[in-house]
Amino acid sequence: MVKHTLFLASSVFLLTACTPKVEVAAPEKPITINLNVKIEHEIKIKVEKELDNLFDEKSDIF
Amino acid sequence: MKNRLLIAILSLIISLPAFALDLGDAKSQGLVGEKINGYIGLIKESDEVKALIDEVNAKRKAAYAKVAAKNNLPIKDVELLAGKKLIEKAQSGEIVETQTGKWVKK
Repeated sequence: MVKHTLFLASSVFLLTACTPKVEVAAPEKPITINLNVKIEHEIKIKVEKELDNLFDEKSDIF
Repeated sequence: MKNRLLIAILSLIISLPAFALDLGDAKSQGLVGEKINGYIGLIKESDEVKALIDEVNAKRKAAYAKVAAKNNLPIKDVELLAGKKLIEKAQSGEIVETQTGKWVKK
């Protein structure tokens, strides 16, 4: 009987010990994502395309 | 008779030159060079070449300004990008400006 109680107590203790505890801490600073680089790249590609069209359309001045 | 008139009109239209000197010829003859700022520069001094350069560069500027306004960019950015592209696509034998401001034959 004593053995039984001991077993029960220890298993309860072990189970609680194993309960996973995941802590998610909020970052202290707000997360900022810099999109400037990507936007600039997209604009560059767009302007390059427009220039290519311009060179074709106005081949007398390019 | 009608045909003759048509031919006369057509030949007049076709023969109307855009410039006294053609930009393509000026480039291949090494009279002008493609600059890094997106415009053409004078290599061989002559009134004819100067007139061509003024006209071409004025038209280019207007075209660059349009692209710049459309994309909300400073005209300088468009000019430099155009200059880079024009130097890249210049035919071999044509003259282009280097980063250090010297003329080189491609």
